[in-house]
Amino acid sequence: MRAAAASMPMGLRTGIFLLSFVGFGTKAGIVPFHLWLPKAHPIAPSPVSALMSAVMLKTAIYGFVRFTFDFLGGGPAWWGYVVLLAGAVTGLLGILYALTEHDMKRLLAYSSVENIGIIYLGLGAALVFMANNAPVWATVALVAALLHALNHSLFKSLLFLGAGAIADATHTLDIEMLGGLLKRMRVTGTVFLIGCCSIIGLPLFNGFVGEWMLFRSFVAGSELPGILSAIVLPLMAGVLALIGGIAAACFAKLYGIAFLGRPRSLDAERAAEVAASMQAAMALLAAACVVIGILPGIVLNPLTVLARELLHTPALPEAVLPIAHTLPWIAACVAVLAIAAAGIRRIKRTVPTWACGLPALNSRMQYSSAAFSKPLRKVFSRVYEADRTVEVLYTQQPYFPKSILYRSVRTTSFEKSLYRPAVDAVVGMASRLRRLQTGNMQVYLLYIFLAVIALLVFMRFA
Amino acid sequence: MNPAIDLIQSLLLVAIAPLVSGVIARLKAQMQNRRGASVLRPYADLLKLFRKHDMAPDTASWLFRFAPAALFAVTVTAAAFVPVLHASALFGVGGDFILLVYLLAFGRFFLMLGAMDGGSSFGGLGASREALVSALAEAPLLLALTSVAILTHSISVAGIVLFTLQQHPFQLSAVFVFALGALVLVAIAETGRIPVDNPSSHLELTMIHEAMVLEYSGASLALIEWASSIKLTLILALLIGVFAPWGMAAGASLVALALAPLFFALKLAALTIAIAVLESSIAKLRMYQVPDFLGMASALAILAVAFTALMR
Amino acid sequence: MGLIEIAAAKALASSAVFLFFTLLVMAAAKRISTCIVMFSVQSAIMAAEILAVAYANKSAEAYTIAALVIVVKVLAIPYLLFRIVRNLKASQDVASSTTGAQSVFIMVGLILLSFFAVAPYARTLRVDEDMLAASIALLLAGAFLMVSRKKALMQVIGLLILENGILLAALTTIFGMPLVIEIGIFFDLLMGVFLMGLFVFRIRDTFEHLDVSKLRRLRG
Repeated sequence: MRAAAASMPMGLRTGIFLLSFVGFGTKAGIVPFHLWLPKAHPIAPSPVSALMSAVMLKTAIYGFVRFTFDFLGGGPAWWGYVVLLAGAVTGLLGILYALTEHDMKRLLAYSSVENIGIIYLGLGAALVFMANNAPVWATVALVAALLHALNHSLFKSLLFLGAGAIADATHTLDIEMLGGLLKRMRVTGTVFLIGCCSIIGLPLFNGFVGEWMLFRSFVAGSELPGILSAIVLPLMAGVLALIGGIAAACFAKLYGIAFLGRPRSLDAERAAEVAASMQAAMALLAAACVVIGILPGIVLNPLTVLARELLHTPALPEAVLPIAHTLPWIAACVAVLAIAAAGIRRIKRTVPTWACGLPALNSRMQYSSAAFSKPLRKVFSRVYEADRTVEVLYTQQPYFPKSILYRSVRTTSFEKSLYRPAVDAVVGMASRLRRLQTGNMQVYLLYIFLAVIALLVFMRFA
Repeated sequence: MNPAIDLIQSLLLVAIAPLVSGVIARLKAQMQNRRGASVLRPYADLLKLFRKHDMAPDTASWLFRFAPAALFAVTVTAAAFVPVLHASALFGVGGDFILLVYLLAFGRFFLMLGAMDGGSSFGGLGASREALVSALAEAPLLLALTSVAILTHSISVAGIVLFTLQQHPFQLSAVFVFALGALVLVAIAETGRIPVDNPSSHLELTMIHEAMVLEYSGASLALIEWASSIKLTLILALLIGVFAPWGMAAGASLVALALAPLFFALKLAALTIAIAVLESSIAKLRMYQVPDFLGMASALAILAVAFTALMR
Repeated sequence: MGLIEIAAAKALASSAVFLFFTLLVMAAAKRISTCIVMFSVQSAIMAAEILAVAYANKSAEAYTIAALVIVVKVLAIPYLLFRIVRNLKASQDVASSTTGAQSVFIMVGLILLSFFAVAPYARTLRVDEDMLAASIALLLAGAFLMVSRKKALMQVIGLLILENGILLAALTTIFGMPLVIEIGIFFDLLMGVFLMGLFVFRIRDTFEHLDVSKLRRLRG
């Protein structure tokens, strides 16, 4: 196939690129083809959701990489910009939608959309570098994308398994009904925390290494000759930073509301630790996250060999290696200091939470998931186009309502604005074509007769 | 490239951090026509807190007790990235600005979680506002540092400082002006000073950082307070190192090394005066004006990055 | 002496950056006096550029134009504008229709647009690309301020900045317009500001406000 692709004209190769981009993008979950993701992931059982996010989405990445880098051998720079744009939009929209969710699995599904966006950012950067004849940095960007894919499969499956454990223990996945689970499910809570730290991209966990390499390749984009690439690639670093910042807020919300504080329902209060087999599975994944986070060389070396083979690059520069040497030292430093600092204190007593002198707090006085995400939702309100309804039931005086019902529904929907018009157009055209089917036998014979006449005329003039 | 000096300068940053907070507080007091507490007051506060009982709310889990230690450890590690006396640091070659920014984000994340573990509205309030500010401040911070890294052809903080140190002040590209503007705005947000956050207020309407640490006491609170002064000092040292490092010892000559702390103290004093004047003269922004403020920083940072390519 | 020369040379070489900085400050400004000060700073930067050209070419004409710029644009017009603001006793608020961050983003976009628009011309004309882009940016920024700020005084300031941009473009490409034309333009500006001063008081006395978005009688 490679030989055939090398001899094809540019137009045909562009067509193949675009079609494979849309096809594999739909399977991977690129906006606007991501609609199936938040609907499919939450319904499946948790281990299956884990596999879906971890493996199934990556097969689409594999397909896209195969087609673009292996068969087509890269292309003009605008291919890279298209992929970069798709990655940026997907990453931002994915995490912005995840921020509003309070169903744990839907939140994780949207977060998968965000991470696919980040992977596509890396692939786009690699394409731009290849188009500009910088195979070394193209390799770095490709390794970054593949590494992030690997890391994502580790920490996302960890998070989905954790969600399954929570569902098993509390019979609910609505964050607004949870709380205080860390005290009741110690192991699950700890490994879930490791998963959250990894997905945000905190150092010493595996998510950081992939993002670091992406940042590194974006900064290196400034050395390219073209002005457009020299501006766009470093700006993508800003986009990645924004995505990371909002992801931190989103997962602080998820972990803080679900695992910390007071339980918000009876089910959460009665939660107990899950079976040892479940704990072992999650602990294994968490250990992998931490090990790769501290000693990234383990996976970096094979991935680099792979990427170099794919792109036919000679050797990687020294510039990218420091991270593998620095991280273990940072880990050691942080660990020593943390243990020293933790050893200083002596917890003397446990007291009720300070309630400004009022009687004891109850679980409803804590922040809810919607409250936590409100500031960011307000800042990005144009993205959400929320549909708000407030119903108030009054008693005699307007100042003492009996009940207030507040409903805010996110209405931005690609389904409504993009798919429905397209579907309606196709259906409309089809229903107009239906008029050809009159049901009359003689009309059908007439069609055959007209076709024969047309063929004769056509053969006369061909 | 002397590890002993690197270690000394990191310890210096950690040790003088409370002094910096004390000086700013005293200057603000003087500007408000008060006498103000002694500049060594934060040290006395830390000693007092270390001796007090450490209490935890009944809803707290191990995360509540661990968060201050994690925050302190990460902040001190980050302080080892920044050159103070000479153009190298403990994590010099590998200590790039991306790792620095994300280490600070690590500390902030655990502080947010520790706040929510208290189970009170204040914790959620502080955590949610901090999430807003940090989500929007990360992009301009990284973009501004990216533009500086592009201009100095180095991603490690020590490398950036070394490049600037070796240039004449008037040889620097004018694009640094935009990066400086963006970094100053972001530094105000990151360190939680007025106009983004009021470090000395305890009213629900106005606090962000203070709301997160309301449940902490004793040694945990001491670690958190110390970590936040270390963060302020290291960000100031970063600004000094990136934009005005002249005075740092370039080689290993003893004279230069002896004078370097003096220059650093002078520059740090100038910055603390600037902070005190700024905090005393403008009002704190409303919560929903902070995204506007950070949007301006983002625009400046985007312009800085674009200019690195346009003004080659 | 060498240090001052280096500093001056560096300052002149990066005057485009300083001009962009004043534009950004004006975009973010919430008070009219900030915009007036920034306009004065802009004109001072341009006067410095003209002085440098005059010093290099030893041309008396250029010295005259520089003196005119300083007297009229750096001193006289800002003084007049400050007097109007003080006598109006109206609020200093700029009454912008875009928030601070939005204005700054739009300004950044305009600056980048001016760079991309100017790129091919700068190469063929062999002029300083930064200064040409700065002149187009000043033009666009002046127009943007006129469109987005609702106070009548801001319309004047926008116009003044626009004229600054034209002057800078002329300076960069053809080394300044003939002296007579320059003097004519400066007189135009002075008269414009005087008239504006008169009209602003008339508008305020008739309509009791200075919000141009409410002056809608200009309809058929």
